[in-house]
Amino acid sequence: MRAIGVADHLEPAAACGRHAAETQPALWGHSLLKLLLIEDDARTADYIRRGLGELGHGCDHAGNGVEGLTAALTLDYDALILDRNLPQLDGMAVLQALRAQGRRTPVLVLSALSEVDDRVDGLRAGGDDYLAKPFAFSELVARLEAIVRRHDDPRPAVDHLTVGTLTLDLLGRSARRGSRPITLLNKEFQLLEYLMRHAGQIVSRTMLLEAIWSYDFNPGTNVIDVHISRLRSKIDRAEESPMIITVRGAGYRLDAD
Amino acid sequence: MQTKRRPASGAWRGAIWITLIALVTTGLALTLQYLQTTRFIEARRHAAVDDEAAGLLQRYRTAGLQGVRDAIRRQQDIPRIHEFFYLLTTGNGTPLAGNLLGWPPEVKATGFHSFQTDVANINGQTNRRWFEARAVQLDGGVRLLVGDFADQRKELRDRYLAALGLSMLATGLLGLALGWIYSRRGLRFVDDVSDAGEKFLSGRLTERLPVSGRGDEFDRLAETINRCFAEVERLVDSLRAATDGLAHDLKTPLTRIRARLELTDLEHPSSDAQQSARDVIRQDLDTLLQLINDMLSLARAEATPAAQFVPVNLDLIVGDALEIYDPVAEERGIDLDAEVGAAIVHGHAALLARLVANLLDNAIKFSPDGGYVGVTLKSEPRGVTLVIADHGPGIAADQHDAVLRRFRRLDESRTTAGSGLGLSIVDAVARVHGAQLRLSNDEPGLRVEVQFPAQTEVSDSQTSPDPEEQ
Repeated sequence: MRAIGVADHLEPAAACGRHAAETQPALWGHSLLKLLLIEDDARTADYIRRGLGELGHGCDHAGNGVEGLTAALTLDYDALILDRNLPQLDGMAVLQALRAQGRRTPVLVLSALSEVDDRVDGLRAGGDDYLAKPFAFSELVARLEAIVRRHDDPRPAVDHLTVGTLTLDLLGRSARRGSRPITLLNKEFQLLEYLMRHAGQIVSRTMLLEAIWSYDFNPGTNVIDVHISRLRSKIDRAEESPMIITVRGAGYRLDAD
Repeated sequence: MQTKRRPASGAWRGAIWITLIALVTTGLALTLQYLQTTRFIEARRHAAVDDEAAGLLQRYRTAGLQGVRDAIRRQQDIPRIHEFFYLLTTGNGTPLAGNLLGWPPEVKATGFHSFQTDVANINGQTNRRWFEARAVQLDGGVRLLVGDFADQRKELRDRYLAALGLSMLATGLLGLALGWIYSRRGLRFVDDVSDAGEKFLSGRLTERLPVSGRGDEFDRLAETINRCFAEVERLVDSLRAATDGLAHDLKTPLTRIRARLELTDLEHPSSDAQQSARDVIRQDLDTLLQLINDMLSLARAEATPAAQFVPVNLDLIVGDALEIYDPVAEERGIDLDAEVGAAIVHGHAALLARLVANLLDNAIKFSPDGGYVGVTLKSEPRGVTLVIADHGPGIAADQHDAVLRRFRRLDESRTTAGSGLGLSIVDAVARVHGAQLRLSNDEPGLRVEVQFPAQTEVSDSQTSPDPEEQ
């Protein structure tokens, strides 16, 4: 009963999926998601909802922690976008209450606090990923898609990864494209593994920094670009169709050839 | 962190002065007392001898020589508590009466005499004793001597010397002990102030001096210094709060702007010209965001409590940084030369990673293409030292301090990317780790040395956590 009452306050998901037909699914490459945004800044929330709507995702919005928690417990979402600083019920409390009630819905924590310790707090409380404000919208989407996929399809215990003609032997630590063997340095191997595990998805530079180097800050210059261009020179030969795609303003994506 | 403490030489100096003053005072008092006492006792003895002599003289006047002889004999016959010595002789020295065997040669005239003389006792041994006597000339060359041994004089002097010695010893020891304690207290206070100042300067703004509660000058000084510390802390805190608050407040509108911009891109794909204008805006926006994030990182680094520190493998952190920057250096033909030995420091891994990355980024950024960047990490007994040197343009010596300040970039043209906070963050991270950051010119280029304190020192300060901390 109460859940219905609260759900009335939620703005309907349909409203933000209006432009779904006009988007380029190829760019974001993923099935449409049903999302809940718990964020108190109305204008930020509006932009996020509209942006997600442009991509065809459905997005409900709750303006405070209590509403957000009720909605998250009542309805079935693919993922939650949870702001840390919320009126009535703090974001961390929402997360803990959600996990305490056995809900495993993937949660992306948003916060104006960005340092590593906050990040650790957020992840420890049961968040699946953490994103500091202000963020690039593409970063938000990339991370959302990553946590949803990880949730749907937990990292399989495989001994090799395959994307198109590209094969990565996780045990033998070797890579091949078609029949051509590729020699990789340690970090190049990790970089490629990460890209292959997220094949078809956009991965941002900060996602790579966090995953491969555990850096929670931007080390300046264009270090990731340099590492990617090195990797690319080994993966994509001139005569082959490119697999590592640069997505302007967002990051990189590994596509099957 | 602090220079080695000298063995309290100042405390001893203070103690010795206090003791000397106490000794002189005690000696003077005892000597005065001694002199007064001997004068009093001698005056009484003189009076007694004179009285006795006067009595005999009176007798002589009334009863003549025979009367005196009788009187002397009678005196000897009656046992008395105090016995005087008498001698009555004729002009040529023949004794007429008395208990002295012969006229002492020291007495050559009438009057009062005080002298030392050899005295034979019954056993035939001679002793040198003080003797005091009055000689009187009677008629017909007859002489009378009335005297007394003044043995108390020697006894008194011996006792005086013993008392002097003992009290000097006691005063000396007590004086040294008390003097040491008091001087020590003063010097310890000075040490406390120095230590607290050191810690305060190294970024522990909660550091305060202990106040004993005795309300003395030390307490007043400590309270004044503590008030100064508190005021500095308050100012720094409010500056931090302002910076932090400003950065946070800027984040919300910037998040909106960025989101709006991206939304526009999605909703209204536009011509190339418009698109490139949007890209420029996006890049500037990203620069602004980087700046804000750096400001917040700086504030966080400065506020990181040492309680979060753990032993960290700095060699691995340096190794990671070298690996991430290696392709960047290679792309620009920069020779990245590393010599990294195992090194463990007590600290915060993420902050240290930031320190190393910022220094390395700086060195590569300011190196000319085909240049050289050297990285060495060494663990020595005096602590772990990280040196990052480049062959870039360097920084003029008088600018070394300025470059660590916020938003200070020597490359005023601002063509090189970065917020200008890189070295400020390095400085803040070094500070919270108690490390010394030294910039010097490497002829050519800049050499940055980070000297971490030796392990034991750090863990010492860790094992005695200040309750005021945090």
